[in-house]
Amino acid sequence: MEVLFKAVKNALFLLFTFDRDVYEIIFLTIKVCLTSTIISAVLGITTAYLVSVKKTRQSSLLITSINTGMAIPPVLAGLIITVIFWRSGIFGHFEILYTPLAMIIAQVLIAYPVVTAISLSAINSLPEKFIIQMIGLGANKIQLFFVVIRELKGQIFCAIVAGFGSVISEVGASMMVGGNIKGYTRVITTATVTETSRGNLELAFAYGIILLLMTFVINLLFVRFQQRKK
Amino acid sequence: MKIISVSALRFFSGKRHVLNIDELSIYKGERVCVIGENGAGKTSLILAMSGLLNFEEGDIFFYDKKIGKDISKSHYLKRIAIVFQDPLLVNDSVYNNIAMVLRFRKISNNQIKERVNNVLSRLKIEHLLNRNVNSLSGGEAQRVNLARAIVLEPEILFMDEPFSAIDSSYKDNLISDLSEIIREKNITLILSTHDRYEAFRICERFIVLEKGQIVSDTDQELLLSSPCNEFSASFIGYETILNGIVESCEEGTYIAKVGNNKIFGVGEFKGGDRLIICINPENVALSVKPIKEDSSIRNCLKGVVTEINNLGYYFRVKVNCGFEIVSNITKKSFDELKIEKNSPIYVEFKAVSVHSFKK
Repeated sequence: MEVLFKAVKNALFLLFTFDRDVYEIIFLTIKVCLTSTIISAVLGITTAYLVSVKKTRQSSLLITSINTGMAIPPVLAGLIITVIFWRSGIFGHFEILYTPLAMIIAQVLIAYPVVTAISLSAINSLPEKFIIQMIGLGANKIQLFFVVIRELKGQIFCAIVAGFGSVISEVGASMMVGGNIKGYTRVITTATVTETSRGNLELAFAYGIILLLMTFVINLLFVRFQQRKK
Repeated sequence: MKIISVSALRFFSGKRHVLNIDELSIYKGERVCVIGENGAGKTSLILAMSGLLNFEEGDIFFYDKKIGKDISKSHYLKRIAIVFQDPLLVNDSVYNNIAMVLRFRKISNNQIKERVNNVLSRLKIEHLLNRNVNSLSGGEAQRVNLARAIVLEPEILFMDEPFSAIDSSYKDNLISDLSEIIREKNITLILSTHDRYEAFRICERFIVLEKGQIVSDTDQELLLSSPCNEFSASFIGYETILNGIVESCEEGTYIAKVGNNKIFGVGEFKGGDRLIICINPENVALSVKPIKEDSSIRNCLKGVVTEINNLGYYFRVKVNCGFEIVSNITKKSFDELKIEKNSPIYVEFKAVSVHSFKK
């Protein structure tokens, strides 16, 4: 209990004294997670739309693969990216391993199936004739895409938040492909693991609390958005 | 001038023909009603003609131009509009729902405002302008849906059972307003419906579909006087539709066996012909004693009352004579005859009031 109390105190101290190391970690976390979420959102929503609208024989296989992808362990995502971008790997010549870019790619691999699966479920929940109706009223392919996304904005936003949640909380992939390099690839989750392994539980807890605070702010934004929609 | 025509249209679901239409032409300004049982292919025909169904074989022509070849599908879609039974509005204000379809056609904001206001006032829903569609009643939502189609000033308006989900009091006014706009703007209408009152108030030409094929293409007068199949007979109001086999036919009067009874009707048929026999409830009289003797009434059947419905000014009585036959009688007759459920009764109708056609 005392550790927790000191951790809260420590977290607030670090935040209000604008500790350079801590803010560096926070900003990198936000940068990496937001970038990977935005990329996952663009790819995931588009994939979900195309899978839903262009029903083919392969659709069920594709949907099953997407749903399976939702359960991909971050460590496995990290391992896949490591193998691909390893010096002797197929994209080794890009030399991006242990960079924030590699972390972003690994996180996209984690968030993309989450965003896709939830968006797909949302698009499939539209009445069967909704899309036909819009085409029948003259919507072209791009207009139709935006009408559908706009109509489902609440659920699509939920998919994006779920994607963000999956990457901000993961540690395995970031640790594996980022290398947890201080001042370069260290994010809140990897910093928490590092401080815990050093026995520095107060600071580890402080990072945990900062992570919770960030998640809280994002969820607050989500709730505000939902309320505005109503 | 032909506005839309269909040639050798075939659409399958598995091995079943959903649509099998050799030729169909619709002329500019016509108001056409497509009728048929559930599964007859009405919706598929509407979707095919509106370019929204990928069918296996056949061509659709718009002003004699083949869609997909002489005129692109997207260009064609910009000249028509479609309305379904469900309003399918987007979660936004009424104004934005209607403005959205004009934006699809890249119409300027000033024109959008003017056209939206005009259509709302024509359909008497200008007070709904800023309301969110989620707060509208079913009837109001369908008015907005119609406004969304009409504001496009389509050359062809396709409507697939658009009034099915609206209560009758609201429907009546909506049909009047819609009819007026369609006539005034000379919009070609292709409507599918199960309701004869809707159809007769709006349309002048009737296409009867059965198992994906056109079995009748006629006007209102001919549809009413000579329904071509069981569905069109029930559509125009025949409540008693029976299957019979002709036993004999002399001087234009036939005798057909229906169950264990015999029915007299008029028409030239041969012995053994299988008939659909339709009897209008208004033409069926009920009596406690048989009155066939010394009268021109050819048909007198004994039965038992199985169902009584009070319809306000008159009663609808269903009688089982081995088959069920429906009679509409006045309240006064009902009271005088002291009709009760399960009471025996005689059913009588003239041979000339029976409409029959070969199955």
